[in-house]
Parts: sequence; C-alpha cells; structure tokens
Amino acid sequence: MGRKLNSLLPIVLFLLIWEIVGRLPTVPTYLFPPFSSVVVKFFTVKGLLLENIFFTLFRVALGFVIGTVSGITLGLLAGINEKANQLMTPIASIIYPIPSIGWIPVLMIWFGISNSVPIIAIFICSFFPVFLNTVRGVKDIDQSIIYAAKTMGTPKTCLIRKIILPLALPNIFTGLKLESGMAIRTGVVAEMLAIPSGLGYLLMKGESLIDTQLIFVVLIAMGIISLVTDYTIRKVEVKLLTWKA
Amino acid sequence: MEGLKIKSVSVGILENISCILEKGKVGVLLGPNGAGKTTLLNAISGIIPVKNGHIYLNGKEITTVPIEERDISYIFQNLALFPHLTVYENIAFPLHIKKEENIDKKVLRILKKVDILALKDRYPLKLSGGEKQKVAIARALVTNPELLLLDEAFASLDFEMRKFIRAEFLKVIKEFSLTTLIVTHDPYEAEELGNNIIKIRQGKLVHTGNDVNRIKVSSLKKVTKDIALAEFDNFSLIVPFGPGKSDHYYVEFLEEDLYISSLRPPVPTLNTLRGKIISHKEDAERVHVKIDINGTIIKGNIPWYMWHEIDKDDVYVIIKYRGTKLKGVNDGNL
Repeated sequence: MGRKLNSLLPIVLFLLIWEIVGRLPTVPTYLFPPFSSVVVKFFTVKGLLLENIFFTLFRVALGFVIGTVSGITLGLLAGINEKANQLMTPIASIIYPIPSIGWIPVLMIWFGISNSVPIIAIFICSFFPVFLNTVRGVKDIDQSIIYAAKTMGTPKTCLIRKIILPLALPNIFTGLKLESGMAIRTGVVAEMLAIPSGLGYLLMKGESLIDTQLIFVVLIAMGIISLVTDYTIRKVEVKLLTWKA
Repeated sequence: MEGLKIKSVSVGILENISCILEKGKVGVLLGPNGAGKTTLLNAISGIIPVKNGHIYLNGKEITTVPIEERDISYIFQNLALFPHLTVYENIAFPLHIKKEENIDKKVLRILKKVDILALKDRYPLKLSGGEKQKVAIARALVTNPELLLLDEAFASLDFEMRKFIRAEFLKVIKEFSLTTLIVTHDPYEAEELGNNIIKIRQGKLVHTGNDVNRIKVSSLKKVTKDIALAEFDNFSLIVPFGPGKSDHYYVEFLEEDLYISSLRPPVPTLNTLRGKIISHKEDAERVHVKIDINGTIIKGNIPWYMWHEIDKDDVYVIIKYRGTKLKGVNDGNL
C-alpha cells in the first residue's frame, strides 16, 4: 500500500503542477489548458473518443495480429530451414531498420485514402521485429534438445509445436514488446495523414480547431492504451514463460 | 557395429569401427577428448550419417533408419532436458510421442524408482545438477528403449555426487536389463561402469575388453590415515587407503597407469615390479603385452617405437600411485 502511494505521489504532483501552470494568467488556456478542463473535455467528447479509439484499436489489432502471426510463421521456417533463412533474413535485415512511418507516403500512393494504409504500416512495423527475433530464438535453441526430441521419435510438426516454438518464445516476446508500442504510434501517424477516423484523425481535428483540450484527451487516451497493451503482453509473457521465472 | 566409417567436422574421420555389445550389457566407450567418442554415439543414434559400414540393433540393421525411428534413448552431456516442461512433463513426453497407454502410471513409477517424485512439478532450471541427472535418466528409461546411450552424462557433477549418481544409475539399468553404451574419458569411471570397455583413440578403435590388473596382497600395513604399504611377493606397493576392513586385499590398476621399461630404475623405487613378457599383440599405435610377475599375469602396453628397445625376458613395471586402488574381498572398495 505504502509503495503504491509512493508511486502515485509523483503523478499527483505532476497533475497539480499542470493544473497550476494551466491556470497562470500569463498562459492562454487555448494553448495550455489546465488538467481539470481536459477532464471536463473528456466527458464532453466521450462518445466521439470511444468511437475513434475503436477504429484505431481495430486497425492496430488487425495489423499487429497479421504481422505477428506471419512473423512467427516465417521466422520459424527461416530458423529451421537454412535455405529459407538465407533467402529471407538478409531482406528482412535491410527493411527492418527503415522506420515504418516512412512507408506511409508510398502506401497512400498505392492504396489511396483507405483503411489499408494504417493496417499495412502496422503490419510492416510488427512483422520484422517478430520475424528476426523468432529466427534468433530458433537458432539459439540448444541443438542437443532438438536431437533429444528426435531420438524420442518426435515428428517434425510436433517438434515445432511442442519444442521449438515454446523455446523460441522468450525471443518472440522481446520482438512483441518492441513492436506493440510502435504499432500504436504508427497507426496513429497513418490516421493523421491518410484516414478521416481514429485517434490520429482526432489529433489532426484538434490541431485544425486549435482545440488543445481535445488533443490532450487523445494523448492521454493513447498513453493509457499503450500502458494497457504493454501490461497485457507482459502478463501473457509471465503466464507462458513460467519455466523461466 | 561393423566396419563403420564416419566423417565428422570436429574430429575428422573415424574408420574401421567394429564391435559387439551384448544385449542387456553395459559397454563403455573410453578415450581422450577429441578421440571421436561423441561422434560414434551420434552415428549410432542417427544424428550424423555413416559413410560406410553397418549398425545393427537386436539383429536389425538400423544404419539408414531415420533418427526418429530408432528405438534409442540418448542422454547428452548437457542432459538436454526440455526447460519449458516440468519434470513430470519431461518424462511423459516420449510416452505421449509413442502414444503409449497408462502414461500417468508409468511416469509415477519411474519417478519413484529414481527417487524424484517430490520434484515432479518443478522446472529443470530449478533443479540441482544431481536432480537433473536423475530426471534425464528417468526420461531415458521410461520408454524401455532397446539401447541407451550416455555421453559423459556424469561429467558435470562433483566427485561425491558423481559416485552416488553412477551407483544409482547402475542399479536402475541392471533392474531394467538395458543395453547401454556409455562414453567417458575417465578410465576409473569406465572400470566402475562396465566390464566391456571399448577404447577409441584418434578415430580408431584401439582395444576392447576389460583391462584392469589385479594383484593379491600378502600383507598390508597402514602407513598414514590415507596411505598403506601392500606387500606382494618381494615387492612393496604404496596404495591409497581408506576406512573399512577386510580379510584379504587386492591392488587394482589399469593398463594406462603402468610404465614398462627394460632399464632398472636409477634409485630403488616403490611400486616397481619385475617380470618377463610372455605374449604380445600389436595394434596401430601400441604393443599390448602380458607380463609374468612370479606367476601373476598383468597386462600393459608399450608404444610401438619403444618396443624394439625392450628386453622381453627382463622388464620393470612401475605403477603410478594414483593409479592404484585397494580393494577388500569382504566389503569391496576401501
């Protein structure tokens, strides 16, 4: 209880300073609104905010799931099969360092103003870290463990499902944790540029109306979504990797 | 194994490997590091292919049978336990793969047998070295394989634990009458583990059979807490001594622990015997000899390049003190 209070104290202090600074006569409210007015704004735009959170989460979830599943699948293939590794890993290593946001302009040219742009951008952002970490995870497995399973008569599909995938999970989670926050950021940026819906769209709307209260509401919502996502992934990781604890 | 030729990146080529391991017996593959012991085990298990020759298991040729289809359990040097599975799940895993019935009953039975029932819900990362060893043994035995291979599986343990686990292991495999091939580089471990020692050196099979020498002691005098003076004929041997008592004693030592020469040691030396060579047999590197010491026959070997310098009718045999073991007739090891 004491520790929880201790960690809450800096946040309360931060909000208090925010409130005081926002109420200073020298600071215009339209440039820097006090925290209390942001809370009031939240209740005013609650319906609109939830609707746009849904749009953003839908796109992020879709891009994230497709990117993760294909990253794990192809990562397993490249980790197990040396020819596939030689074919895919060099390409992935070249594309991975390119910021996924950089793809948005070209995606807009290819797909126009559509849902595809943020979803594909999130896919690119999710796929490469998971792919490369899965390959590393498979390569890092002690070969004698694989041989031990083989001498027991384990068929290939069972070997992948029961031994290789679980043992590559620690590395896969490293990739997932890297990409989850990035996926939300990429999705929001894509919405800012290419889509008239979602949290990115609300941010741009706030900017065009000089509605800083709305912008702060959206920023806080993004922060909470990122925190919840990160917390969920960590919980799943702890649950699946009990053997490492 | 018959005329095996195996190519390995780490140790080069192993060739002309032929030997028979009887069903239900323990064979020990003995040799220095880099001799090709693990390579041979890997070839038997199907991990690496064989270039030439044949491997038979219970009369059936398995040379080209895929690794998954050979009924062989392999305990690797690092034990290769599945870290993400509990002790119970590790042991049940091969039974699930073989789609066996009464899995729970079989796993619990072997857990009790190797005395690790209390550890069944633990993960390997939470086990000590000795506990991991027992889990690996239990997992290897649970399917009752046709052949069990062990690659220096006791090497990571400290001396006391190694002795204990080795004894436990021998007890269990005797009970299961399992055909077992064990790799070690320690001649004493080899001696304790089995009576069928297969020596391998630089990719070649050097010698098969038990080559422990045994001399009956006529009298024994304790010198210190740890050392005793054993009399044999007119010779005196300094040997390690430990607690325990027996009516009769033997001194045991391996071929490797002898130095054979025709030159009399420059100073009177303990642990030196004198006799004559009564027979010899050459292999690629050494000449294996039998030496008659006043009626007691001991076996030794001489590098081939020294063989022509030896006077066969008068040789001195110097036994390393560290190589000797005192054994009592009544109570075994001292």
